[in-house]
Amino acid sequence: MRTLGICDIGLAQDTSHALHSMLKILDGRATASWRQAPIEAADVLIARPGSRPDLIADWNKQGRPVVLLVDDSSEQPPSPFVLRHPLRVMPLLGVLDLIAEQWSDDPRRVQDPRASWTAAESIRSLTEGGAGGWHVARTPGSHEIWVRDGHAHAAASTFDRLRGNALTTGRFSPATSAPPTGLAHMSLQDLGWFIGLHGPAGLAPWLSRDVSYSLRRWPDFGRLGASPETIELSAITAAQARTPVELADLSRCHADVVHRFLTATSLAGLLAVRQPAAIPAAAPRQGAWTRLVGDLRRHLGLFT
Amino acid sequence: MSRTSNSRVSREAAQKVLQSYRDVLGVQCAVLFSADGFELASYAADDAASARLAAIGSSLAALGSAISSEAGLDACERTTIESKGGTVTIMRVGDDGDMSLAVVAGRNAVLGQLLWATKRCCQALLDNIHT
Amino acid sequence: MTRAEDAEFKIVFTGPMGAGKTTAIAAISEVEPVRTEVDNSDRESHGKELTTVGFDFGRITLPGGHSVRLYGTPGQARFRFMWNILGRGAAGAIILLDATRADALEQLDLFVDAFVPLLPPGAIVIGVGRSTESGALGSDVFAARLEARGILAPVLTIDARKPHDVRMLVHTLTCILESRTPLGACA
Repeated sequence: MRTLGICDIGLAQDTSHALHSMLKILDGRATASWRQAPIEAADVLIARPGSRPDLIADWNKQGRPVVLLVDDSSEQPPSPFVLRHPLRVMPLLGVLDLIAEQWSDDPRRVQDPRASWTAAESIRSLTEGGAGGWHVARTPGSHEIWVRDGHAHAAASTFDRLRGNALTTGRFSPATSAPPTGLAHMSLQDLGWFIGLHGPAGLAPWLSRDVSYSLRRWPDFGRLGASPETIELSAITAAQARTPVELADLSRCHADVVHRFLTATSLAGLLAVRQPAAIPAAAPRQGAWTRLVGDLRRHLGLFT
Repeated sequence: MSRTSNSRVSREAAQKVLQSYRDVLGVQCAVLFSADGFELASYAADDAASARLAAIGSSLAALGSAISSEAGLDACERTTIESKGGTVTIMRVGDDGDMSLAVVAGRNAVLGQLLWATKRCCQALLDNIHT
Repeated sequence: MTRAEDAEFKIVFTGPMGAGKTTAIAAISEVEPVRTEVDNSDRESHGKELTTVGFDFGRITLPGGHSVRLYGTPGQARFRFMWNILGRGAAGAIILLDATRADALEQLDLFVDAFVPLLPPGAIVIGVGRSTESGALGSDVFAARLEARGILAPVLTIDARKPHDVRMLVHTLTCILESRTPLGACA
């Protein structure tokens, strides 16, 4: 079994202790063997956003895995590995297993861990209004999609393939030239919809099982195309905020369909987040520690 | 609400014809209207009331035609609404359905007189049509 | 009967003149629709030859066996009394709009104001027609208008002549009816 080192950056002391305890608990149960390690010997970092920005940026550039531990469930940071405070054993195990499974022979490089999520994450970055100017994505079949200022441009046949789930695309990168003229166009939101709807079947990395999601605006099915599943899921989430599990239960839809719907609506800017009541508010350290221990016990119960 | 005046009866002539209801027992008001519910002329009804009567009357006339047709009867000539306080009668003016005449009458009206007077009005209106 | 669980229920098609209500019902009705169209004498307001002054009536059967009665209202405000008559007891309404009308947003407001009070919460679907013509407003503009009023309702781009599009509107409304909570629109 592979041994991997994890170093925590900028975590509060009790969170760091909790991490240490959880790693002990996971020993023998995870895909890899995890040890806490200093930065120089670490294979993976776990950090609070904003901690050691230069270090994190450096790791990102090298493609080395960084797990972000965020406070607010409504944050949707463009990172493949996100955990929400308070740290819990099961989500931690999920993320660590994912990293371990993607580990390539080059110890410094995790194989593009969410290769299938690349396009989606890319859309999110573009939507969040990062760099201006033209961005382009090229597909295996040499199709190109150009994006600028909230609009996507491509050959009509490329868009047809996109709509018909016959196109996979990768990351959008800054373009060195401008696109050819005479291209068809659609909004960036619509592009996000199709990329999300036809993307990976799992729950998107920036979405959470613990969070209730609702629709802030209906998809225009006349323009995007309608299916009974997406209409039904829209009706349910328009009526009331639901977690992914609740959505699968209430609808007649498979979890994959639910996940893709959530990804599509999220990328299209149609999804809103409701804070679940269960997330505890900030509390004194002693109380937080007690609660973490309690959480551990509960999760162990599920675990064994 | 403005509309092009393409009715074939002049408003003045029509108003004059409707004045004959003054001599008919029990008539409270009357409104001449287009098939699509615009008031063309009226007797004893203010603007607001005649506009509403015209709209509702046109719906009733259209529904009368629809049910006559559905029932396999010939073209609807007249729709009558009977209530405790009186009646509303809507009669087609001529055969082509461009205009109808609605007459509101109290309980003291005599049905036969009312119908005869209304048929006479309709004929007078037809006579006044400029070709 | 307004509940989706009942064997039969009624849906109203409404919206301004020329938006395609009569056309839409005719496109999907399984029975020959009842129509109450007469000559339009007000060509200045709208160039259509005919206009509905009573109501349209049609019927379809949904998968699952529900029978749905379809009523189309007249579009002009002077027939507002028909909106009330037809809206009462309806399970929901489909508001058809003409995206090329200069007053399209005001028309949306007018019909939302007229029908939302008559219907169960959230039981409206907006269908926007003529969206490919020049000068047409996009569906997002109508959705934003509703959002500004705190209303969350589907705004779908459609062609009222296409049975597929009209069935999509009806299907969407029935999904809403099955999912709605007493809280209704924007939670």
